Amino acid sequence: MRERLSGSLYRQLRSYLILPLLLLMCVVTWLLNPRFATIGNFSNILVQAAPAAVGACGMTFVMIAGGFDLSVGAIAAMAGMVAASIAGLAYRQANPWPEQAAALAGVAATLLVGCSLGWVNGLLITRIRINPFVTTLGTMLMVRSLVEIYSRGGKPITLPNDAALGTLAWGRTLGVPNPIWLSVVAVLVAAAALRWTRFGYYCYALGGNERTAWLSGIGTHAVKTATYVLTGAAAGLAGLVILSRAMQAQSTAAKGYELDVIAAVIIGGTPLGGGTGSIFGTFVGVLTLAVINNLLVFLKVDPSWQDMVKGAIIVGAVGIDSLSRARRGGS
Amino acid sequence: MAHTHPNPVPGSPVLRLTGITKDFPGTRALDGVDFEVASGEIHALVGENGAGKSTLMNVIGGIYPGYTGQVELQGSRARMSGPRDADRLGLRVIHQELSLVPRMTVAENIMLGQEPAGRWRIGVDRVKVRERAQLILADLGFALPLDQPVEQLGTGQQQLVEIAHAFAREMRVLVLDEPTAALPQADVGRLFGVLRDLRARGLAIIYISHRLAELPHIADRVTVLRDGRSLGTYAMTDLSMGDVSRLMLGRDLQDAFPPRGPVGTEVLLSVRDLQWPGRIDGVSFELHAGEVLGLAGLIGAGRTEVLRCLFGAGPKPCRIGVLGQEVLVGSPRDAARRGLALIPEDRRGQGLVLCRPVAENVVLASLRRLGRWGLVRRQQVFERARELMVRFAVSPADPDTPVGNLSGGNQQKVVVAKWVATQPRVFLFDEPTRGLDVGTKAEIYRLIAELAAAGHGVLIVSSELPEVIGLAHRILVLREGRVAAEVPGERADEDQLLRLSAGEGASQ
Repeated sequence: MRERLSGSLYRQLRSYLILPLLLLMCVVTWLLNPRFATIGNFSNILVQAAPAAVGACGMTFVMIAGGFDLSVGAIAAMAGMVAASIAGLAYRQANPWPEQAAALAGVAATLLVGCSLGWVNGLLITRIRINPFVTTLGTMLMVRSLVEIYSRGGKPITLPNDAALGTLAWGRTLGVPNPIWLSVVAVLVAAAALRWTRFGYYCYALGGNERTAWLSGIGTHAVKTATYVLTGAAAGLAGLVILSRAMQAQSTAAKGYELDVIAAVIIGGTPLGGGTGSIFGTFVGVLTLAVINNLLVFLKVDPSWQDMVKGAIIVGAVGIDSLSRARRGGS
Repeated sequence: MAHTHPNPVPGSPVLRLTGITKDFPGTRALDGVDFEVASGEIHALVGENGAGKSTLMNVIGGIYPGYTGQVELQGSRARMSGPRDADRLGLRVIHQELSLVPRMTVAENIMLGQEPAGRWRIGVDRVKVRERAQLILADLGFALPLDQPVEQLGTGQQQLVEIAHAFAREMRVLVLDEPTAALPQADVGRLFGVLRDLRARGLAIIYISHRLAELPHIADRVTVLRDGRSLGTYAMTDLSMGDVSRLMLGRDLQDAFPPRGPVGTEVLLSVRDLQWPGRIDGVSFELHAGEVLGLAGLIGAGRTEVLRCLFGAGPKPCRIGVLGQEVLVGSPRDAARRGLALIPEDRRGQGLVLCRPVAENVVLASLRRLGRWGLVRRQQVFERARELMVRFAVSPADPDTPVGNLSGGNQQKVVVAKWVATQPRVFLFDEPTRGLDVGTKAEIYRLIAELAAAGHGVLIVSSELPEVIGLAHRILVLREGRVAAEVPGERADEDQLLRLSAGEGASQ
């Protein structure tokens, strides 16, 4: 028993090589600017990171199962747009709905939109067998365009400042901002699903060797489609948080969001081919990216450098892992 | 141009390894191995899986630079610190998985990395590529279609392309890893002819194989490895096959095939007029409880396809009778639910998820039984896995090891265990002992006999006829997608089966 634990512990720690780097960055920034290490700032970082955290939880399933999803940013924007227009019904002149009900309907619609778009991705990938990268590149463009059309050429939908949907981003529960609750719940649920459900086991098997999984009697199409549905739903939820923060749905919302999410998952130790990875790793990846954004502000670094640092971290993290693997003489 | 090294003194050692030791974390793969191969010699290297054959080969090929000991090539010391060293020194290794570019033509593959430059040293002179490739083939006496993409060739011809590719550059030593493992019987004879010819030209050839029976036909000397040590080099004429397997195993080989158990009356599987356009044309048979049914036939006769079809991995759903009930099997999932289990030919590519732990692999097909509402308790997975691993003597006994780190025999046991956990009635074995050594093969035979004795039905496809003859109660000989003959296992012999497979004297 002990052997097993220490073995798996070692393997887990190895995939979180980024953790010491994250801590180091925090300490250095704190030394340079003590205000970095305040509860207010940490809470700020987590709030900022919430949409990425929620989306990355879904993306981890897709990527562990050997897939890829570029369309999450577009899905988030679409979800935000749909939610805003439904919730916005309550603020029309002839108010047909109570505010709360409209907001709830908006949330439900968001999840529905996310799930269905994810389902379409899954169908295209499993039934028509288009490569996931190509599929989601296509759906990303189409959904983005759909958002543009829906918003009549990119006109934003603005909600009043005190709209009920605002509680999601600005409200607090037990003194903790709601977005933090949301990402904590997402992380816990996703981690449990990956570890303690058959679906989670199948995701690993699918990413490890799809042919074997199929020949072992696993319904590979269904499992794969489910990962995209899950990610679509997560992206929808993220779009809702983004909307709630801005109180305005824009067609350009969540631009580049897909890359942040994918970067977080990769930094968190899930390789592109899948087969391994964990939610905890992904969460560390999300935090790393969020902390970088935050500390660059604290260190008064020109924002133009932001993506340079992110890029370097991605290449560095994956590079170190790959080198250490090669050194150990593995294949 | 194509040539071997000039003026090899016949019989003088070309490559000499002294005291080669190679450590991996936790294990010593090679322990002070001495080995030499002379020009004009075919030197066989044998040993069980894990004895160190591949490690030695990879040291020679420069793939494992971190070894200690001495490598001497024609009297001068060499340090193998990368594949480039091996390349430069003319050591050519042909691995079991061939390394050709499937879409490129035979000529292009032969000249790969040696392409004559085009005019002004830009690009590749395609005409010259073809001409030189042709010269090499003529020199070797190979008849291969120069302009055909290699993906369209059979394994035997692809192997010849690879040999020609090795021959396109200076070559002093040729290492062949299990060259006959995936080769149809007819091509084996041709390969041996080629190797003898190369030997006559003074080339030093290292021949790694599991098939002990072929060694007297091809090898001059044999070196036996066990547990990373060399047990010495012998002239092939001085040893019997029994001696070699005793040396390899360190004990006497028990009777490889356990006795056949009784066949029950219950019909587990009834197959009527199985079809796969172009591959299978109306195969029918019944499989009884406790019965081992062998499928023999040449490559392309449709043996594997029968198993695939039954398991729902064919081109379209097939209708079969399982336990007296007519069912439509459209996917492996259906088949597994109906109590079928397939142990595929390519266990690494189709039987296992190599990067995942043994525990996960072993419960993969039976997770549905391990919890309700789609939930799985890790503790339970590990307990179940441990139970199965003990039952099938999987080693190492750690359920957390990635299954890719296990030896071939243990991997095969994991695949079998995975299916036993689903409590199937019918096992479909496709080449169950491919790539396994003598000792492990015997274990797998015992396992198959035990499954049959426990009342399962077993369908077994194997290219090794002695295996089918030794295990099966009945043997169906397939030819061109049809059942050409049925032979009782006890009365079958290899010659008869070969004749029936080829279509001569099919009187039954």
